Amino acid sequence: MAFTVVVVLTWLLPILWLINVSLKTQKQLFVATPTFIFEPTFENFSIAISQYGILWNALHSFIIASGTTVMTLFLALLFIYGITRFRFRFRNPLLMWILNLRMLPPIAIVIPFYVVYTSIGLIDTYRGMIIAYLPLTLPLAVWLLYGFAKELPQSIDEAALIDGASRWQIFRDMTFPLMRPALAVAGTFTFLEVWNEFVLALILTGPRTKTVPIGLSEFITEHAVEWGPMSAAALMLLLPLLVVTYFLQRSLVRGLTLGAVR
Amino acid sequence: MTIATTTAAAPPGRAHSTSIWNSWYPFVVPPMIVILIIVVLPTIQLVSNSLYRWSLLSGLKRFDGLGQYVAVLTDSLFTGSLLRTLIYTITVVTVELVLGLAVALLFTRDFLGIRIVRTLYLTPMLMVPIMVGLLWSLMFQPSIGIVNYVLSFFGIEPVLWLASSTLALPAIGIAEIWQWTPFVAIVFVAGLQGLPENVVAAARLDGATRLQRLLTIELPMMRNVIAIVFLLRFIDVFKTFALVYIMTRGGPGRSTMVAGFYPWEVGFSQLLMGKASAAAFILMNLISLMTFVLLKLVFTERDSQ
Repeated sequence: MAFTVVVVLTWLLPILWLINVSLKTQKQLFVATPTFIFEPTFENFSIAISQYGILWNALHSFIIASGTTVMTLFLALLFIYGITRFRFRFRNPLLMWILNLRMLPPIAIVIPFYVVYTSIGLIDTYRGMIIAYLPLTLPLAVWLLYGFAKELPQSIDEAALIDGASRWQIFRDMTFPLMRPALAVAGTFTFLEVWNEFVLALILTGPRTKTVPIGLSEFITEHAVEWGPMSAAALMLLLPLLVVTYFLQRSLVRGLTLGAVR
Repeated sequence: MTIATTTAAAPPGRAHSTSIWNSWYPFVVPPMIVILIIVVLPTIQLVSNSLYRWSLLSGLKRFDGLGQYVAVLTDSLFTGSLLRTLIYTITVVTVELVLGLAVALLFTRDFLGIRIVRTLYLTPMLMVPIMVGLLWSLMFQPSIGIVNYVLSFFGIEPVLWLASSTLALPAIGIAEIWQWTPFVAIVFVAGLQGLPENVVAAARLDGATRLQRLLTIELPMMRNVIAIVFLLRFIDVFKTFALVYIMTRGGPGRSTMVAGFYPWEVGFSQLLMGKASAAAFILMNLISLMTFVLLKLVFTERDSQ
């Protein structure tokens, strides 16, 4: 047990170091030997907020990630219902193709999006970003929901069909409520995917929709790197995620392996 | 439930049970249309862009057939990046799997507070990848970075990590391993705990040592878990972009130019859109092909189970 704790703490040393840096002034930081006992300052946190607008970036990220998540879950749930409740040709090839899309390098998607968006004015808009993220998030959500949907008993559907319900009624009144926990998991992962994404954001966002990863990358300027404020920003953005993870631990593995391991 | 009341609004009689609205079309077709618009159209656009010699700098755009593909495939920067990426990916993923397994074995022992310890261990994985790149840039920073400071205790002279053409890529690899080993570990924990207990207990009764149990029973039984982790990590590391962008931008020289970064370098640094599109299309197909081969290799026996 003690050994486990030591291993974990060693692994987390970089983060402890990050905390250390975030509490120092530029002057305290640039000394030959790092100090561990010093008078902490919180000015880096206020610089990150007021000068770098890290909270604005968080807001942009939040809007884009939420919008993408809602669109993604709606489309993925429809698709999943169709694919798990009906047998038709190309069903399996279709699923495999969607899984393959999950592996698509964002850099391949972003070039055509960039070319089209610059000509129709969707660069640096929430609409544009939400659409551009769907190719990444839809395959993820489809695969996550697929695992759950397969396990829902078909017999409920069949019973309802015999009672004269239409497929839409079954979808809306039975499948949707039953899938709610699965949607929560898929929604969280879709949200995180967008929150973390860098390539698309780098090329398709601008001052009005700049997301967190882009905001963070701007702490490196031509002249210097603002290590203190950068560390402060990093820590502020980490805390909410840590809380979420603590409660999500069980579904985390399932989500991260596209439903393959639980 | 509202089913009974709303049935009246549906088409009369039993006719609706055979209508198109009760088939798979209304469920599968709308998402498919969206996927066509957001994935297939851009891909077509990508291919058509790749057929032009097209510079954003001069504004010149001239049809070039497959010329840009030839240009990419004969560019030593590209071919070199493929080989470099392959070696980098295999090394990084192997280290992640070995370390991840070791940590997972520590985590399967239950003790008070294990849940908190596990959550804390996952912290690196929760960081935005860009943040990890920045953090390790700071760690490897020659004057204020802590890596050189720690190494100095062992009598090692200060090293210019990210400015060295031999050490820059390993440094990026360390950041990658640091962030994603927790993922491997947590999945392996789930895998180990999912093993049928009677088998493991039987082996223990038969006097198998911990190592014997691991090598002959637990690992073979976890084959699918290991395979899926390998697949996901392999593809992700092969696509590396953010860490390289933030830590080295492909330099010094071309020592950290990886396959995932090459199209950006060509498209948004040299501003050659046609060539970048060709490179991106090649990369996309290469990753598709690798995914397909890995899936085949890894899951050939899965169906028989």
